[in-house]
Amino acid sequence: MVAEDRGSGELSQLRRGVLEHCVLAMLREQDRYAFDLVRELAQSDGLVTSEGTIYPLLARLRREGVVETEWVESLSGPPRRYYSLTKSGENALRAFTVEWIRFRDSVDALLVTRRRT
Amino acid sequence: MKTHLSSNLIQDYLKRLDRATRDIPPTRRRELREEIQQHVAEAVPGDASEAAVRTALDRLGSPEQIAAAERERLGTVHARAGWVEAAAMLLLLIGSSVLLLIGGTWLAVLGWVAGVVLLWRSRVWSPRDKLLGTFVIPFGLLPAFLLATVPTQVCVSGGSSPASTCSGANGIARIGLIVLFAVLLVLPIYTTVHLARSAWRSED
Repeated sequence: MVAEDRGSGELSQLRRGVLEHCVLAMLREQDRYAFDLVRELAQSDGLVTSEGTIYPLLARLRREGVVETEWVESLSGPPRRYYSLTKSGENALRAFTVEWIRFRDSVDALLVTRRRT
Repeated sequence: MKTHLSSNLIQDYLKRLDRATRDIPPTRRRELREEIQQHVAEAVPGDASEAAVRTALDRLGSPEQIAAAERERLGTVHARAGWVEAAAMLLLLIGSSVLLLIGGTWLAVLGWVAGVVLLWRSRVWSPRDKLLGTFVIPFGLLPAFLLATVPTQVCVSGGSSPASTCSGANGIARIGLIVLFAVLLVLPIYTTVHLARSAWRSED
């Protein structure tokens, strides 16, 4: 019954997991408001399929408590929701960064070797 | 000012989003709608052209895509209409009608209650749909059947000249009753059709 769109298969699965941490990384330097965050993330090549799908991700990060938000009055329009990294978000990002570099290097090594043979 | 067409495009988009997210928990559903709405407001300035609005909506992706992403991040599975919904609607309709035509048999009451339970347990209907299903079907049919049993010699009482309006108002009153009967009968039918449509509307 459940015909789920797997998209580009494993790659999209992988992308989803990585994406969360990309958002955390974007908040490392400064707090950002949703629109700004979404626009920049969507502009990174191959990370997301569309801007709209980032909002469910942001909601998930809020639920996980790795980000927190605050409404800030805006001069040009309605209040904006600013996102910032929590302590647990910082830890998650640090742990992921280490893991990711190891993972990336291993995959790179294998992929490059396979291609040569 | 946005052109008429541009704001229509946005309204249509939000309506599609509402349809696509019917099975998302209400609080989050409302929040997601606000997030998307605000995003569009930020993306297209007040005087944006139709083309600019279309581009912004394209970049957002389809409402169905957003709904799928939300389900995925929530860890829920897309709820699709199945036998539960069919059974709920049958029980509601048959339960209500039998109850009113034949009289309050326990079986009919049980059937209707079971229908209501299924209606509320289903994840394809929004809370508004569920309220409609619970109240409009029986409470449309009930007065309709009551009206049908009302004797035709109805006098309009409480008018300015109560005694004399009796026979004259009879025709008008009867037409009024027939119209009322039709409306009361149509409402539950319309609600049932509405429930069926929102359950089985083709989704991407």
